[in-house]
Amino acid sequence: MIYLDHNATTALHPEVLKMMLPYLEAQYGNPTANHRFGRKARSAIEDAREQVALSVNAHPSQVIFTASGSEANNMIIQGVAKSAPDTHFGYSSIEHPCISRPIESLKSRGYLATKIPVDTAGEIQINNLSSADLKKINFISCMAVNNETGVIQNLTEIVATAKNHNIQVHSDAVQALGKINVNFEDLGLDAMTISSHKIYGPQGIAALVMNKKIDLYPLIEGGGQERGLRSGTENLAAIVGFGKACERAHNNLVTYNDALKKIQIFLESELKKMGAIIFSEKVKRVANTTFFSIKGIDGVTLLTALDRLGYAVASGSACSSNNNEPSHVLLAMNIDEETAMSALRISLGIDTTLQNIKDFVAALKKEIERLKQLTAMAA
Amino acid sequence: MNNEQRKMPIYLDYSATTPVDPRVAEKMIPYITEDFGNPASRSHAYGWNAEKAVENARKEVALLVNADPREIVWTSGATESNNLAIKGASQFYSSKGKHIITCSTEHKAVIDAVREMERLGYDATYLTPEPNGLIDLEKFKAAIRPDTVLTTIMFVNNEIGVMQDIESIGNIC
Repeated sequence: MIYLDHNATTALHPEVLKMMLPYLEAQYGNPTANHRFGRKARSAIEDAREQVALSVNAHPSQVIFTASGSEANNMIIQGVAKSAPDTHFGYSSIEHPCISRPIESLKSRGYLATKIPVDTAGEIQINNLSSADLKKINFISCMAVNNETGVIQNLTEIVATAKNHNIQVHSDAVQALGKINVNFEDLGLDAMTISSHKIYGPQGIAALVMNKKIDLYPLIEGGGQERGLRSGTENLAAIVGFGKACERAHNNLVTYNDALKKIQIFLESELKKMGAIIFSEKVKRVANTTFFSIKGIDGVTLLTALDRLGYAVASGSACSSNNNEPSHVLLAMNIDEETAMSALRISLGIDTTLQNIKDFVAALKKEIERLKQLTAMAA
Repeated sequence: MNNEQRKMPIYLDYSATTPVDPRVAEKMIPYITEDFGNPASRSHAYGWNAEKAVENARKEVALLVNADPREIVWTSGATESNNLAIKGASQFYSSKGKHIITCSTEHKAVIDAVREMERLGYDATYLTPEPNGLIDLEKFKAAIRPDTVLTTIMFVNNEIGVMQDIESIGNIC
């Protein structure tokens, strides 16, 4: 089985596993305990916090560990809303549900929120907001890289516009980390979400990176871990793994991009020969993501066939794939519903080889011919 | 020789945390290395295998505490569970009433979540245990009001190890 769904999750890197194993095999204390076991656990956590901070150019004190990217996103939205009930939120129309749903639920309870549109290429257009809208908004959340199209958003422009209007900015950078350089300080962000299992680290650990200007009310209260912002016994082995995964991804950014870019160019030229439309083709995208559609072929039928042939691909974001609905990202880009229903996402990973993709392309070609014949016979 | 280089002491703090049982580690490792799919991925076998593993574990947990698998909601830790239960249930039943009963010897994850509900306009009764650490059931009965929507009492205390009579408390409720 060839795995081509790395935007959904990734396998643990052997170096990361090696770092984690001692913490799964020997006795380590509760990091809040005062004995030597506890102190060792505490120092492992602080080392990992430094690795995470260094990889995104933030200060270790700005890193708050959470159990998932979804939690970090909920924490920033609900936490800001609670500490400042008059907050007017701005959020792009292509955000992951773990940003859009908490904002929409706040909206149903009387909060104000404005959607920021994207163009047909999937780029967030903050400057399409009226200056009246920008004057009302105090907090914006815009993702750094879209999980479906792979489009790299212009955060520099978004932050500049926001700062002109005294707006704080959070970015969900889960799909950016490990794929492009993510520099918290230089981007001028106030808060940012990153996650471990998308960068060959373990599941169950993520972080909210946040500067001191943000006034945040905690979502989970108790023992006061993570500076009182996120209580709960720390997930020690996972934190250690996340630290290593960040360090590894950061150090390998150039090699990663060089290798995957070549494969992406080959894949997309072959797809186009088959008549595929590649979404967001002309704009800046990450090297591992190709979101495409082949006219007249149903996406779900095709990916079921591909699974049978040994290729794991996705139709859109994993989290919303329970319901067979067209991608909200493509609809926001003004793509028609039929085209959206045929969309497939290929997301490459560090183990993907050019040969894997050559085999995939051959299998895809055959399958499309077969499906076309079936459709012709039915007609 | 500094502290860290000396032989590690005997660990006698199992109420704070316990090591991972080797059998547990052995069971976990395949799922973080090979069967690593996202359980929400519905389009391929990696996702299906991951989902199957999640549901099997749900059955195992349910069996241990004699619950229905559908009654198990995964969280990232007990602090999160306590927050979710206290904040979630009391807000859900707010139209019925806004009174919560707990005990002064609860874990901070419970106390702080109850305090937060007080800030949101709820009333809370903090029962004081008897000198033996147990809650007097008559005092508990007396604390129940028509607007009580939630009681949160720990089964076994983390510091003194005392076991509350949860069955009787449940029956009274």
